[in-house]
Amino acid sequence: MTTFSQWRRGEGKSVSSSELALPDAARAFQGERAGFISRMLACLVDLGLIAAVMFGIWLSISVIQLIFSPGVDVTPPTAGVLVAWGYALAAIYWTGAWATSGRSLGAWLMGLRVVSSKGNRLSWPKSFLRALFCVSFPVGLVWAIFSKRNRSLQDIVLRTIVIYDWYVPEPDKVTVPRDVA
Amino acid sequence: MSTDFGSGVREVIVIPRAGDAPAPGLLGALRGAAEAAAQVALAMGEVAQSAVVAIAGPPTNAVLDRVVPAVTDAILQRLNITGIVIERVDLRVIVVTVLDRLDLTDLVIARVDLARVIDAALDEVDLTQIVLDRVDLDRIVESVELDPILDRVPIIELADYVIEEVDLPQIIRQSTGGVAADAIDAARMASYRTDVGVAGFVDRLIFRRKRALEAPGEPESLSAEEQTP
Repeated sequence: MTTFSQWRRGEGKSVSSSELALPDAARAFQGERAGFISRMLACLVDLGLIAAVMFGIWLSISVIQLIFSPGVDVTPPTAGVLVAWGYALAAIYWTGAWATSGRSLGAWLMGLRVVSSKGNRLSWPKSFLRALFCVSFPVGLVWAIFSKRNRSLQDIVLRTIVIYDWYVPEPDKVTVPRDVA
Repeated sequence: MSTDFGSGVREVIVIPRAGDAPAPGLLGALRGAAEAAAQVALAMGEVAQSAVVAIAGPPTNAVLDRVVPAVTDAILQRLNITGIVIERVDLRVIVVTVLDRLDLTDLVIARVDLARVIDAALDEVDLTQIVLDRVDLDRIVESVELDPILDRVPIIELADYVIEEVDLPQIIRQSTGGVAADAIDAARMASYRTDVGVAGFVDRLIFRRKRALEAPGEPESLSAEEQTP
């Protein structure tokens, strides 16, 4: 245990370890290539999120229309429009998610992260290409079932990897010299 | 001192010499008393000497030189000077007088190595035990004004320290978001097991031994853990 004197001299811990505690069972496979089921579930969560966002946008537009031009006929968008918007939103969302944190909401929920072939974050262009590929050819994910390295078609073509990575360090857990404060 | 050898009357007059000023201190007083007694003895010796001279004729220096010390010594041996002083002298008056004339404090300060005396005294006593035995600490603590002390205590820092030591944020997270986190962990674990099961099933179907699932780089969850002290 750190005494108060030691703590004042800055010899104490400044990072909370328990925050990042992984379950022991999960520690062994952190960083391994993720399998099909987890990745598919992550995609489904993302699709659900995108659907919810689209519904929210449509609802907002409808409400605004009703407010500013009462009596206007508010009709649900056609399937084609929905799909087009869904594709666009998904592409934008995944591009941003993979290029910044490496994980979308679904990937976070399932403890996954998309990294480059060297284990780093994807660049923005590569994220965009992968997002386009996934949106336009989602079936490519099925190849992960058969691939020896759990690679989807997108992974093979763009040399990307999806790994298990359950936790992320909190940005505020940084050691700051006490004198400064 | 004068002695009349011719007549039968003998007088002893003690005249203090210039150097006979009362010596300071108790010892000086005692010495004065002893000297007085010795002078009395000397005077008696001289009386005896004059008697001898009267009987044996005019003295010569040689005779006196031999006789006077011997007689004086013999008289002194027969007298208990200490007893006389104790009996006859009012020692209390002398001591009081001497003490009145002396500034004992100055004397002690000037003559005594107080640091050594105090050191020796402190070595002898168990001060802590004495304080515990003799001092009413509760009363002292009760009388202490706490506010100025608390003003000097870095309470906010202390609070920060306590929060950090008990990992309060983690306790709050555990109490509020613990259930959700556990649910997420369970879902992740279940999906991982399904991944392994599906992959194993497929591998058996196509007679593959094992998948190569190692990936380059290090997952952030593990690298963050390693940085944590």
